Amino acid sequence: MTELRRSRKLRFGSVEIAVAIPERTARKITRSLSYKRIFRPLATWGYRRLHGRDASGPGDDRVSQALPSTPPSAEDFDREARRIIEKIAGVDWYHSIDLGHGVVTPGFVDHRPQLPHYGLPDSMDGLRCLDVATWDGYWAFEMERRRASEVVALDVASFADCDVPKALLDEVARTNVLTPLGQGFRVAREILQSTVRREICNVYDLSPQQFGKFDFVFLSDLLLHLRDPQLALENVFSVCRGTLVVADIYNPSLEAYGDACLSQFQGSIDALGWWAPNTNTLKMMMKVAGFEPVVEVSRFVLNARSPTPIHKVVLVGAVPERNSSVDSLQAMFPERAAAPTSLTV
Amino acid sequence: VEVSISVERLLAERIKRTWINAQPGRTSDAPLYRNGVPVLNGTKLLDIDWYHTLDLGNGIVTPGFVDHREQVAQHQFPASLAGKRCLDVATFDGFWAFEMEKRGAAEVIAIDLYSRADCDYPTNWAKEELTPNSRTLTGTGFAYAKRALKSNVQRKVLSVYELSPDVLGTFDFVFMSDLLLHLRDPLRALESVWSVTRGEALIAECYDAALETTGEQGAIRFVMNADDYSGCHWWLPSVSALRAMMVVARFQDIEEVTRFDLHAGNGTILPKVVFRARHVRRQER
Repeated sequence: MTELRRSRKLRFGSVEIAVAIPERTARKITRSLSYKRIFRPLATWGYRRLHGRDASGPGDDRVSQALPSTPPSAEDFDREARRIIEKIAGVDWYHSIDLGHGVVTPGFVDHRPQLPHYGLPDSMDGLRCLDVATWDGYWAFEMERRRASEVVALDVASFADCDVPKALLDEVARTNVLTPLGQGFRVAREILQSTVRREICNVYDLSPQQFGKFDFVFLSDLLLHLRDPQLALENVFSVCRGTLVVADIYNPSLEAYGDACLSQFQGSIDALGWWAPNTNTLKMMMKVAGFEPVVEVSRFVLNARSPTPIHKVVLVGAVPERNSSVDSLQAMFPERAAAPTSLTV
Repeated sequence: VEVSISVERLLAERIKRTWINAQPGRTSDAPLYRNGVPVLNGTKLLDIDWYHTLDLGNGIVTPGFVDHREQVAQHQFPASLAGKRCLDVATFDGFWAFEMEKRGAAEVIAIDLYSRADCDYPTNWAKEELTPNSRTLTGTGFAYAKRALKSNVQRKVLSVYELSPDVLGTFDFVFMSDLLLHLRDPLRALESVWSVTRGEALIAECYDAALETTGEQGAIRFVMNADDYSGCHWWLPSVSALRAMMVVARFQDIEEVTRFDLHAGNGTILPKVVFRARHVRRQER
């Protein structure tokens, strides 16, 4: 059993220095008084002098751009805009969607300023696209805007179809979980005169028999809400014949352990998410599902109305040309036939 | 025209294995079934790849990969199970099921998969990996030991995911050991175990000792490796993650019994933690 090591990468211009020390030593150091009182404040001060911002991760300075603090009032706009504002008024928006005439829906999350981080192709001409867990449909409409030949957007029928902790079932049954989702999607689709097809399908039931195969699949901020994210990725693989983009949250506190694939179980009674994996785990899960290669595109803090920062990573996976699962199996586990006890940690 | 046929799982398994036994390529040392009971003619003790070290009496001890005998007491395995209805989840060669019987259990049911091909493998793997054949059938060791011990333990082919009170009823005592790390969805397994527990459950699972030293709450490691012997390894939890999952699976009175190292074959050391928990029925609350 190898020891866990905590690693940090420091970049000075074009030079990158990676430091890895055993976890136990690292803890001893960080707990020592001289580190807390002298070294840490000095290092923080020095970093700020050098970079003019905190060392809490790339992209932090991009938060909270373009968040409308209050929904726009009707008087500011022309007649068409007022008609749109009336239509969107009754909806609890998750996505900020630009509906034209200067009207943007007051969403919980605004992806627009961060769109370049996702590495979507400028032209999706001729691609058959799938948006998994579409909600208000921001990503589906974006793919359509990029001239995708067909866009299918999946969502569940109601909150009752989400992965709810069994311990909460009684409580959930008392609330109105059976209210159908998709009101925002319908309103936005009508205003945008979109032809995106919204289908009710749980990602656990996704199959090529029902929907065929897609050239481009987009999966954003869903895996954290699933009890069995691996099954979701495997199902997505079964309907993908080209590229998958996974844009999901990751756990920054588990990033410091080098190559280790770690995750955190958060399925507590009051949390919305089930798992908070580190980026290594997300990559490995995609590989296990069959995608190869898996490439990281970006990391950033999501532009959302959240009291705590939401750290996101964008990963792109490809379906191998010749999908021989035997090959991929042997590549992953070259010695799998050897010892029956390979519980290497 | 759409025709769908549904068959009770246990019956389906019986049909399947009858068919497999009729295959010409069946090797001579695979068990032959008659009326659903394996016939052991020709199967020698050493032809079996034993997982458990079992004392079969008359000085015969099976050469298992793990030997739990010295550590039964550490699990705080109940000294007497007299009159109790007991369940052993993922029994393999049946060590724990036979222990229950030895302690006077009124009824012992042991569940296991039909074939190692039924383990949680990634679904995109080759069909050959995922199709049962005579090489991957399980239960040879169990059947041999059951006969040698003249045991009455009933072995049922059932996945832990399929456990429910409708299938096997409920149990006074449920034991599960070293299973969760082989599952893609360990929480669902815990929920299933909870659903059939009417008394106490003893859950003895491997944990990640290196992860434990970090102090990260709820941390779990995506291990993902595989072998022909025990299927896939998916998630290796820290103790806090295991406890959190048991809470979410609705277990109550969760109590950590002990931690120890299990010294297995090939010099493998498996750090283990044992939890005791109860399923408190609504009317008791």
